[in-house]
Amino acid sequence: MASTSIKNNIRRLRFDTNEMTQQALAEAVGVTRQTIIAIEHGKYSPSLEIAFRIAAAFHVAMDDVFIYEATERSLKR
Amino acid sequence: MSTKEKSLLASLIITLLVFGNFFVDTLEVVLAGEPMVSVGTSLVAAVISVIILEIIVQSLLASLRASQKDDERDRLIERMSFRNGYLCLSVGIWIWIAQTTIPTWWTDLPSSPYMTGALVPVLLLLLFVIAEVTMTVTRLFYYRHGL
Repeated sequence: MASTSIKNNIRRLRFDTNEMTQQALAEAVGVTRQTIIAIEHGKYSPSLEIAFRIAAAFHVAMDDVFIYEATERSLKR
Repeated sequence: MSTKEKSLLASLIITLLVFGNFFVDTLEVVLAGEPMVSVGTSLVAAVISVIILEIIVQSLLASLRASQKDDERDRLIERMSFRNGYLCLSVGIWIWIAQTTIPTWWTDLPSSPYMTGALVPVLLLLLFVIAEVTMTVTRLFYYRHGL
């Protein structure tokens, strides 16, 4: 399975925001539910614009949603 | 599995079944040394079958769930699938060019008897089908395993 070096707290943030559903977040951000699932599971790194929109949907800073974990492999890219 | 993946899988199965059957039949005709008269009819039948089956299956899948607009991930996956499909197509075209031109430069080299006449459109169709299958498989792979 492909995974990115960018981790996220979307699952926890959804839970903290009145257990927001993936569909509700997808509608707030303007993407499909499948894309939210892929981002949540670390299978897809969203564009900056989508990342900002996700942070805005939770009313938090982007740092609170996404965490960049530099690995040896990602540094070589 | 999302509706989009089901739709891609259905397209892949239809393409492989219908065109696979057509290419196997054509191969049998070629190997038996029979005239290629029936191949034209089979080709038209295969294309019409694919169109009809696609309309039926895609309409059924669309009726199961409301259509969703494509987002950036869909567009990225589509672009990557086009890239792989294009790669397949260009490799095939280059092989084709080499196969048809090299024997004309060195006359002692025999040219393939299968690269001429009525078989040319069939082989070109095979190239397009391989490119199409590559695109669909690429999309399915990226939807299932991530980017």
